This record gives sequence, structure tokens and C-alpha cells, in this order.
Amino acid sequence: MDYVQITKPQRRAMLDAIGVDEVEDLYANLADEYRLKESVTLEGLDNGLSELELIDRLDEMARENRPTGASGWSCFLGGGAYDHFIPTVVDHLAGHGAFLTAYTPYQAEASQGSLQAFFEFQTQVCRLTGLGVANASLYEGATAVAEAVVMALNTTGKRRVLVASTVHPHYRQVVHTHLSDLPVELIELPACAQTGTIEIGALATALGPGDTACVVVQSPNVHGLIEDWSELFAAAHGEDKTLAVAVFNPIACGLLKRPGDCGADIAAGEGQPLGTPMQYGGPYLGLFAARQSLMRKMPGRLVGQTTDNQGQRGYCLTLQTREQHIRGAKATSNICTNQGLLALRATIYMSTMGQSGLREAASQCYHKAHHAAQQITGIEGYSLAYAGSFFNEFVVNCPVPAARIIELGRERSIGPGLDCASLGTGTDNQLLVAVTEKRTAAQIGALAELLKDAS
Amino acid sequence: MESTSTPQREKTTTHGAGSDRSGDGVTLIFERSTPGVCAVDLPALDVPEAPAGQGLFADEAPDLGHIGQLDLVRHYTHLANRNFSVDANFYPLGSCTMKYNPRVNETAAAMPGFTGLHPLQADADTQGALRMLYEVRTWLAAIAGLDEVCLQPCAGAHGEYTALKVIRAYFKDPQGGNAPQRNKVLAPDTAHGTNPASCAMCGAGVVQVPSKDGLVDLDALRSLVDNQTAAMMITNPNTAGLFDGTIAQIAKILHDVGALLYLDGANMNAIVGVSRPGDFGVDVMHFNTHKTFSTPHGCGGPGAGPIAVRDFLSPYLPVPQVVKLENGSGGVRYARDWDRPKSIGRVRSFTGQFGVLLRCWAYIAACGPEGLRRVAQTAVLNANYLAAQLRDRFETPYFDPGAGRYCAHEFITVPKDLLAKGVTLIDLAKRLIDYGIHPPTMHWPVHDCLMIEPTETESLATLDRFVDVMNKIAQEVEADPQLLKGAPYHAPLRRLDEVAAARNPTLCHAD
Repeated sequence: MDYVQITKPQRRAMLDAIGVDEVEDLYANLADEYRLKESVTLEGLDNGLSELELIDRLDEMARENRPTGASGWSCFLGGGAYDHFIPTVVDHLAGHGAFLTAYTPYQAEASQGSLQAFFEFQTQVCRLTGLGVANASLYEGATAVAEAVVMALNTTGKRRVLVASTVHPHYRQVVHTHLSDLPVELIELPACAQTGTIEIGALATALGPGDTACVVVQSPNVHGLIEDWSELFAAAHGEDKTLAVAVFNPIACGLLKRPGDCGADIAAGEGQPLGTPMQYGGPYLGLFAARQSLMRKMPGRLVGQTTDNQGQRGYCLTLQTREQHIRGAKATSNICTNQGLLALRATIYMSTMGQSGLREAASQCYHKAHHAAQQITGIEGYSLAYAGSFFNEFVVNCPVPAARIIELGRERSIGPGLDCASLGTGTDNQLLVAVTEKRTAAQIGALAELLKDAS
Repeated sequence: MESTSTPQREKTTTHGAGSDRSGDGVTLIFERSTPGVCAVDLPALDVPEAPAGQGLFADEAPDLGHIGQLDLVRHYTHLANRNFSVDANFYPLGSCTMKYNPRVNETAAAMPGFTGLHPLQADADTQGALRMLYEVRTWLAAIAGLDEVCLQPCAGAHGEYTALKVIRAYFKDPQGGNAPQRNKVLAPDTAHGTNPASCAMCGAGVVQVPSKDGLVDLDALRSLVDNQTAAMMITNPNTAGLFDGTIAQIAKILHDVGALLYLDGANMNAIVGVSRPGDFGVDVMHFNTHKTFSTPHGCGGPGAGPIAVRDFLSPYLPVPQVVKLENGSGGVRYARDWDRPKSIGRVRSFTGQFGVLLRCWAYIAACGPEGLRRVAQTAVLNANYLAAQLRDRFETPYFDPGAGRYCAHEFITVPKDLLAKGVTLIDLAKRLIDYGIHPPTMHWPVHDCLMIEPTETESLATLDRFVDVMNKIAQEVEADPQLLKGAPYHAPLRRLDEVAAARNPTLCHAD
């Protein structure tokens, strides 16, 4: 099915109306040698599939996977993507065709639904981060952090970037790729081996020369540990104009202090935990907020409130002179699309949870993770790798390689965590365990049992 | 089919929802908040509470309000009713390819076997997901006529950025292009704004190539290329809706000086399955899955911008790449390959826009090779048909069938005669909203133009109704230009003051 509705007789009539014999004639400028004589060859796909055949093939592929949830596979994997509960109402509302099949709301009068939803999303992200301005979303967490760094470079005119080594390695790698062809110095702030966090002394040393555009610190960091944003950002602000960039987890904002309350100038993070399934890594959404004074340096779409010519309240895209379609090479970013549908999911999720629901989900993550840590460290040979406070994720030193535990877990339908060596954040014997509100006491018990049997 | 009877100045319908509308538009979710109500319930905590770390917790969660489930559902249903969409309206937005988004794709993307996968789960537990990614990557390479596809970029602009990084790495490599001085990128003056913006992100200088009669001026191009030139970014069919027949000459001019040709694949819907960019000299390109391959636009995303390259650029593609491995005994498994020493590195976290690529897979699988060709041919047919029907009243500077000048899958009209009668392009656009049609792209790529792209999925009846409405609006301009000044009359809101919004921006609701 190619979803074309023009019939053969209609086609003939349309060609006559244009005044040509064949559709081929309309490709007048396409030289014969560049036209395919036969249709393209697609491996394993000779003909288009009917819907029934299509669903069969999709089912077959889906069955070759071991997803969390329905199959009984319990997921303790985190590292930037988390298995949180998604209220069913999110799928139902975000799946509405009027959201799904609309474009970027350039025509405000025909797009009040998405525009108001994004305005509400921006407001929620401001409240979540404690900052004054938020955009309508970026691609995902790692690119959002890279955009934050670029924004800091553009705002300050300085050329050094300090990134904590405890920021997610994918995010650090994306920042590195982003800056690699620009005249910028990227410096990694080492973490304390005992605490697994950034010590103020390390930052003070690195801040030295006075030309630092920004300091990037993630909390909870890639080991799940809570960094002392307030102290670190105060030190960063000791240098003239240097900006503090907080990489945050939106669920943690339900329980912990917010980036803005700790002195962050820019907050960037992965929005997946807010109602988007893990779906093998994407599409997700980047959350991005900043102090009010940085508004005109923001990347991405911004929705503003206005009125129509009858005085009724409405919304439209605004400050578009920052953007590529107006400013070309001088734009704040090349970003054209936001992640509209994911921002919509996130805003519906936040509205559904509300203030009390988000607090409850975040608290349950905290308590269940601490319960899991206690169960695990009670097993001979297992201990926590770091002494610091954590939110819903922690690193365990294991008596055997993490890979072995993960392999045994496959037999029992348990994903016990991530191998820190593979992730690039630790050794072969370290396991990064994440616990969300979805995990039950029984599943945590089974996890502990697994670790015990693997040792 | 909606009628084309003239919508009056006085609003008579209740288009859009607003069953709870006051003079203040739709209530904000925050204004509906009722403390004590909640739309969700979680199971009771089944583990002991852990002590709070000292000074760790905030006193309360951020103020996301409190709302019950029914009011929540009504709120978003009301918002949905205040949107134009492909599902409800003809949406001929040029350069955006607003084709029908098949529902089976949504079913595919919602399958628990896909949604429940963690991105760092073992390859052995995600063989189906990896197989899908591998298949879609080989299909896209075949459609491009190029050697290897990278699925990672999140959107078209991100694909541009990624490709430019790859080109840069190739020229920097002594064993590769070995021409580190090549840091200049050419782009036609009709290029998408993302082209120069992407170059700037990569530290490359952008040089504009002038156009002549809507096509690249070859003499100007020859005078601009040199041994500093890394590449030219070109959209073909171009942004004016014309297939540039000199594309192979353009490729030769670039290749002769050692530079590369980059294709912005925004307009692939005109040639998918009909012609392969690799055959006409393109070295690297991006696709927009949300344009050509029917993945929904979702109010502005998510998209996906896979890039296709010739083999000499493959070593520089981002990691990880999805590969197919064959063991000796005929078995096959799929894996993620991280071992690419010359790779530009990561351009995003994890493995790509999986859910979008899954929809793309489902679309290509549904169409098949012959269906894809029919897609492009019908998209071109529909655009030429509309252009031919409209050109009496809406001048089409580049479309003239009598002279053998046709458009690709979209065309522009610069309605000079009508604009001379005291209306602006915006007036015309806003009046279309009254007839339930989303306005075309405006003022791009040239001033005072409407860029119209009907796509292949529209029926003849819809196309004919559009022609009728456009002609009716032309009559309205003749009869009473003031009528258009006040449009729209039948949208959820009347014309919005965008200037005021930018002057004193309110981007966040204050209590």
C-alpha cells in the first residue's frame, strides 16, 4: 500500500489538464541516464506488503527482543534512560491525530493547540528547574548539553569549557564532537576516587586562567551520586561571567533541590523519564532552561503569549530572529525541529502526575533504590563503590565481572544493571543499578538473589 | 468534502473546541488546578522508607498543579481541537511534505516489544530491533544509490551537521582526503536556513552561490570553487520546486577541484524510487524521514535525518553502526559496532531515533520498490496539476507547461496581480484558514511567494477543492480586499499579534 488515492482515469485526466502524455514527461530536466529503468532493489523486499503481512513481520521482529514489562523482564538498567511508569492517559492523549499530524506551529491561528501545550510545557520546565525561561524542547539530553555549552561560549565570548568527568560519557562525547572543529579548549574535571563526585578543589584549580565560558556538572551524576551544585556553581561564579550549566534528571527534581535553586544559569537534561518509553534510545527530548537574562541567546523554538485582534489570549512562536530560517549562519543554533510530540508527552505526563504525583514517584525511586542497595550490600562480596548520597541509581563493586551477572540475569529475565566498563565509567567488576518506582519489592529481592547466585 | 461557500465575517460555527472558552481563550492547565485532586495513583510503597540525606531534599516538589483525570483529558482534547492537522485539513505546506501518516506505523511504534527496550540492553536481547535498523539502513542506501547509511542524526539539520563533520574529518585525514585547508562550503542563495547554520556549527565558512532563473548559476559556481572548497550543499529538486538538470555538471565542477557534493534530501519526495542521487554525482546526503517516509511531524518533531555516503566517507561516520554478522554455519546476527577508529565520534546519546526509524521501515515495507516510484510520480503529478489549474490567477514564475517547464513535487506562485490590489501575502494565507486549509509556506525561497506542496496522498477531489478555494479568494480580493485584512474569522482565534509577542516576551505563565 503506497497510500496514493489518484486512480488511473484521474491520472489520465490530470495529465491532459497539464498538457503532457506521461508522468515521465514532467521530469523533463532529469536526464535519461539518471532515471531508473526499473524500480530500486531493496534487500528482502521485492514487493510492498499488505497491512496484515506488515504486522506479521513487525510482530516477528518484536518477538526477537526482550522488552521490559509484558514479558516479565525486570529492568534495572539506567545510565540515561529509565523505565518509569507512564500513565495510560499519556499515550491516549498524545496519540490524537491533531497533535500527531500537525507541523511546527508557524501559522499561529491554525495551531493554538500545540502552541498552548508548548507554552504550558515551557512553564512546567521552568518550575521543574527553578529557572526563568525554557524552550519548547531540543533533540535529546546529550545534544541539549552541547547546545548549552555553545550558548555559554556565544554568551561569554570565552574559549574554555570545563566538563565534569562525572557527566554521562555519551554527553561528554557529544560535546567533544560538537567542539572539535571550533577554536575552543575542552577540559575534563577529574572526580574524587572515593566520593565519585567533583571536589571543590579540583574545580578551583581548573578555573585558574579566567577565560572559562562554563562549568558543566551533572547531578545525579553518571554514578547516580548527588553533586554539590551549590558549592561548585558558587565557585564558578567567582570568575567573571562564567556560566554554571546543570545537567539534571527531571524526576529527581520532584525530590531534590532544583538547578536554579543551586545557582545554575543553564539547565539541560534528558526528558525521556517524563512519559516517553525507553524505545531503544529514541526519540527522546532535550530539556533546556536558563536564567531570564539569557533568553535571547537560547537555542530552539520558543512560544510566547500574545493576544488576537479581539484581545483574546493566544500563543505564537516568538523571538524567531534567533533562528536559522531567519539568521542563517548567525543563528544561535541550526535547530529547526523541536521534539514536539515528545514535549507534548512530557507536558501531559507532568500534568497527570501533578505536584503530588511527581513527588511520590521521585520518593519511591529514592526509597526503592536505597532498599535495593541495602539488600545487595548485605550479600557477601558486594559493596557500594562510592560513599556519597544517591538518588535512584548506584554503583556496586562485585566479586565477579558485571558481565557474568548480566549473562546469568538473561536466564532469569532480569536486567541487573549496566556494566560500568562498557559504559566507560568504571571497572569490569562494577555494576550500575537503577531502580524506578516500577520495580517491586519482589523484583528487588530477585535481583539480590541473582547477585548472590552469581558470586 | 467541505464546501467552498464563503465564510462570513461573523463567526457562525464553533470551529475548534472551545466548549469552555471564555473571552480569555482556553484555560491554562495551571488555572484548572485544584489541590487535593490527582490524575494518577501509584501502588503503595512496598519497601521500608530510607532516611533523607541531610539537606538533600527540597521541601516540596515543583508546582505542577493538581488536576483530575477527566478534566485532564478534556483539557488536551480541547487543545487538539484547536489545531489544523493532516488528519483533518489539507496542509500544502511547501518543503515540509505533509503527507498522510499511516496509522499502521503508529501501531508498529507502540508494540511493547519495541517500546520496552532499554538502549543499552545486550545486542543478544535486541536482535529484532537491530535487524530492523540494519534493514532500513540498507534500504535507504539503495534508495540513495550510495554505499553506507548512518541512522543516528535526530533531524535533517542534525544530518547536515553530522555530514559536514564527516566531510571535515575526511579532509583532515592524511590517509583520506588529505586537504585540511578545505574549510569552505558553498550553498545556493535559495538554500534552507539550516545549511549555513550547520556550516557555522562546524566552523566552516559559507559562500553563497547566486541563482539564475531559479537554478544554480554555473559560471558563478566555477568562479567560486577552489582548493579551499570542501563541498557544496544543494537541494535537488531545489527549494523553488525545480529539478536542476545541470546537477551532473555541478557535480563535475566540484569533483574537478577535489570537492564533494552534498544533497539536502528535503525534496526527495519528488524522486524517491525514480532517480538515485548517487547516480547524478552526489557524494553524501541526508534524508528527512518525516518528509519522504511518512513519519509524523508531531507539531514539529521528532524527525530523523539519516545520512548516506560514498564508501570513502564511511570510516568517519558516527558510532555506533548497526552491522550484520554471519557466522560460518550460515547463521546471522546483528550487532552494534563501536570499533571505528576514524569515526567523528558521537553526535547523540544511544543508537538513534529508533521509534521514528521503525515507522520509516514500516512505510518503505508497505510501499515496496514499485510503490516508492508511484509515490514520487504522483507527488509530481499532483503538484503540476495544481500549478496548471492555478496559474491563470496565481502567477507561477517557473512553471510554464507550454514552454516545457514543469515543477517537481512543489511549486511557487508569486501572485503579483492580487497583491497589487491592496492585500498582503499574509492576508491570503490567513483567509485560507477560514476555508479549513492550512496556508502554504510563505515568502520562501523568494519574497511574496506561496510555496505549495500537495503531496501524493491527496485525492483529486481535495486538489480540486483547493483550486476552487484559491479562485474564490482571488474573487474576494477583487470584490473586497478589506475582507481579507480581517481574516481569519473562523479559526479558534482571530489574527494574533506576533510583533507584540516578541517585543515583551512572556514565555512562562506567572501565577
